[in-house]
Amino acid sequence: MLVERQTVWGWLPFVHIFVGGTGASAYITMITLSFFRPGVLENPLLWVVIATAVGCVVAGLTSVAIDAGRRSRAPNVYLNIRRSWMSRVALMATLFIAFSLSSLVFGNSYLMLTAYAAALIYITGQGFMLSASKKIPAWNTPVTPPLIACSSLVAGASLFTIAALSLGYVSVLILEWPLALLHVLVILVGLGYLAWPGATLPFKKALKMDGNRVFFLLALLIGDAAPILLTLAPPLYLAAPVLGALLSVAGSGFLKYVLMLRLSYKLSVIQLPEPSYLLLSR
Amino acid sequence: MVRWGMVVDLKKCVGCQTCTIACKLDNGTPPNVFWRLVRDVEVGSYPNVRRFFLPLQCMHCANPPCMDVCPTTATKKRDDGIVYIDYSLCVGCAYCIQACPYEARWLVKERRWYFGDTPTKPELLQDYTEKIGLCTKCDFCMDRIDYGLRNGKRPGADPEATPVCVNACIAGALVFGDLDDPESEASRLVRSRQAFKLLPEMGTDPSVYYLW
Repeated sequence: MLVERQTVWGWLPFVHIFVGGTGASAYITMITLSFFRPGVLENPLLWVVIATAVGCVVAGLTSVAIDAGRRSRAPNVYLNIRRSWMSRVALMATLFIAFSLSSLVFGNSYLMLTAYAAALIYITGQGFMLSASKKIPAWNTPVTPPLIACSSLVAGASLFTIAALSLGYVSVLILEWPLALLHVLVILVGLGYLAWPGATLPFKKALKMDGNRVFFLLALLIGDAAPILLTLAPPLYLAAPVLGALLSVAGSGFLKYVLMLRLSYKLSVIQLPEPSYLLLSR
Repeated sequence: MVRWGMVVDLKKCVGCQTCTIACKLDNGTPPNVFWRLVRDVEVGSYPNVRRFFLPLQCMHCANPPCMDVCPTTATKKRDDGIVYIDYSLCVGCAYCIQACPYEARWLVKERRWYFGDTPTKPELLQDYTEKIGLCTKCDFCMDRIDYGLRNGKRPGADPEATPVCVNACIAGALVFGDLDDPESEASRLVRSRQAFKLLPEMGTDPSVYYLW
């Protein structure tokens, strides 16, 4: 029923989903935190986070541009905003880059909020982009968009934590418990993905093949369960949160790798309707 | 309203791949690119095993998922149901390949010839250069259909206005015609025989029927 993995989207689209999603989520974390702690929107943290986030999104867009057959026609990807998630994701990434950089130049909070909204749609759209792929049963599920978005948010929040702590902003440690809750959410969504009641037979087979279910659980263990345990561990000054954040980023990457590259079996065209077997045996 | 479609009689198909070759010759597709091909299929389990041949191509769906995902609007559907690619817009992102459940789309990364670095005469006859780096697929030979209609021919009945694969089929297993016309041979076959479409659960409503 499942014959082989897709080969048209390899490491480059994975880089887009992982690196771009993580970068945009770091920005989302900073702005969300600023609603409670306005002090985080000051230099050099502001500069570092925006530069990192924009760098990651640009790297993501560049990787998919390299993967495309005709790079010179890249502007054409904005032509189907009405129906295509790829167009929407490309537009949101562009808006995010433009508005976040201009907010840095003009110091305008409205520009910042517009970039925030674009980043949110961007990371959500990445999941919808995958779930619209009817040929890949493991992507074509309603759980894929929340899984991708939550995983990106965790990785982005962790990246932001690393950046803030390395610049001496110890106040970001208030993120520790909200981040732990986000990890719990990723675990719940991840388990929901594995146990999705609407799972088709090809989807279940994709999970069974090549130990994919184990790889998926391992990604949740590394990226989410281990950081939660580190949150509960006795404080080791900054070692525990930094290690937790590093594991989160690595785990998110691993989860997306498992989803995009390991679970990407193609749906077999040859799934004949049930009565056919009866007719064939005549 | 016209809706061009194809009916494939699985009891007649002998798996000779003549349609595959006719398509490749007419469209000049490079090695490992098959806008249509015939799969050798085994179904059932011992002792109730059967073997048959399943011709596959673009299904020209009424609800084509490839068209919805295409970020460039390169994939379009005509009023007569033919789904085609405007190669001047495509960027070759391959998103349509991921969306098509029928494996009907092919990304041609580089120009390759069948025998080494030199093209054969048939390969020279078809200029495929404009499609390099892009996603490609069957278009039901729409140029032939349009040409035929302009010249008073009937697609499905007159060879000049009929897809080359249908003309080439040695077993008469392929029937092309207007699925919305109850008098067409294609519609009559769908009504009179056990007809089915591939992957109906995908909600794509293909224009290619198969007959047992």
